[in-house]
Amino acid sequence: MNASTGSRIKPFYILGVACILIAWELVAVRMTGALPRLRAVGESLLLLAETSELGQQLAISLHRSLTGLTIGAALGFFTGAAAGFCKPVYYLLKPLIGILLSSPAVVVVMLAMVWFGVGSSMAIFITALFTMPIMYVSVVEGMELIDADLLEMAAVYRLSRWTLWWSIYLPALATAILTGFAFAAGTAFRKTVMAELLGSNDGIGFAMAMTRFNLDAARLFAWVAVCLVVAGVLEFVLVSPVARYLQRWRTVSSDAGVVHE
Amino acid sequence: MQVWCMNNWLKAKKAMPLVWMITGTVAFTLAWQMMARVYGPLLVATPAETLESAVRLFTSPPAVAAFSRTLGRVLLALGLQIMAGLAFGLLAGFYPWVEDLFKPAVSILVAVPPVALALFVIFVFGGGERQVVAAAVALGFPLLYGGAVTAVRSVDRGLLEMLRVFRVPKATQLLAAYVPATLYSLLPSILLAAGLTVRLLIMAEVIVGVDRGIGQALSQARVHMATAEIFAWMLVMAATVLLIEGVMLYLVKSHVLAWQARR
Repeated sequence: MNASTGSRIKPFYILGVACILIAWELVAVRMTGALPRLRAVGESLLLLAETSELGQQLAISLHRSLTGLTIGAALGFFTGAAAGFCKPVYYLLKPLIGILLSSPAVVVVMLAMVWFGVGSSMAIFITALFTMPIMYVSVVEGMELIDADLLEMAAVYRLSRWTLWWSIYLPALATAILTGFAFAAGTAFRKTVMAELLGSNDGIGFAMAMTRFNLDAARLFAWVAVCLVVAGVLEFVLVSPVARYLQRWRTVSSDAGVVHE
Repeated sequence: MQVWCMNNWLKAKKAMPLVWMITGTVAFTLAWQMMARVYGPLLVATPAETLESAVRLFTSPPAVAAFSRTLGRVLLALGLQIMAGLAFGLLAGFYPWVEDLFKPAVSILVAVPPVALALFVIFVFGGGERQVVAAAVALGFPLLYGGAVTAVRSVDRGLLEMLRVFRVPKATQLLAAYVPATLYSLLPSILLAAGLTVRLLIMAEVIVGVDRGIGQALSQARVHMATAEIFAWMLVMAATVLLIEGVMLYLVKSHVLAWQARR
């Protein structure tokens, strides 16, 4: 979606939200057993908050996704910068990035469960592995956009390496790093949840998997609501300010890059 | 980002230093071989074992059946996604209020962890082939929908003006101007969606646990600790994504670009 929304209140947006809620409630009442009533979901959410399970699991998942994101973004930045500087590195990394971008995360999770066992390190590994290519692609793109004339001028004036980095590369790369990081952050949380759902003893993903065994749909939707809030906060704090900032130069679709399984 | 991906791909295709590509692949394979040596066949299968396993997959009827099943589901999901994305995207592109109306639903689809949506599907609709395809369509939909909305907004204003001046009927306007123009600028999204759908569908197959399909084959391989087989499936899937993208890119080049040139 484009970020041309501005800040005016849009009645149809609110109508859209209302439609979802009403449709949900109708289905829940008509087809008993399929969907829990909204009230039940709210009660589940309250219960989670009261028993402090919410805080605990959320803290675990957030900690994992932040650690994974930091490692993945750093790796993506350094490899991306290296690939931007020297074409051979780009081609050396091409098969690896290609495989990472085309393999379903569930399969890699299966392998990582064998490698790391069940638990934190596996979830962090998965998060890092799948945020890295996003940052990498963004930085490589940023390096391509750096003004060649500027670099030539720097060479003519024999600027020191430090000055070169500080006053040409970093400012030019700042937008790329920002975009990459914003996209990667959204992905990170979802990958962590997926890794936890398939192989972990704690965290939000694990809690969701448990609702499947307990057949507690209301609790599943309570957790989904928590995930939506996390995603919403990320969007509000990170993605849309970045998109708005970047729109001064070019159009950015803030969703397209983030869609991942 | 998506446009960059495709542009870069086209560029790389045109002037790809073949030597570096080969060196890259060889280096990757060597590094992989070393990893396999260090960690043993149970953790990391060697490239040779993986290749052998992949060949075995293509000669064993159940694996071929699983592959074609999943491929069929992928193509179905992709087709539905394109149709739904185009239909709703055209509407939302024309009428800003429709976009506002859809916005909450699309935002939820984008923000929800895909695994959670797969669980949702199990809870509400039960497991099954149709449910798996539906989950993949729902999760892939925002990409094409967003692409279509942007595409409609970027249709050539001059062309539209001309159609209006010559009083071309509305239906013809839609078919002759909007659909081709939208499809054309939607192509990068469709290319991205192909890879995305393969990944989403396999994820849904694994989580929902539908029988017959790559998802089930993978789950079984995991239970048997057949690492080489998991690696082989990954290789097969990467190749499939590349193949689908290649075929689509070829069709694009031969049809749409020709159409563009004629214009």
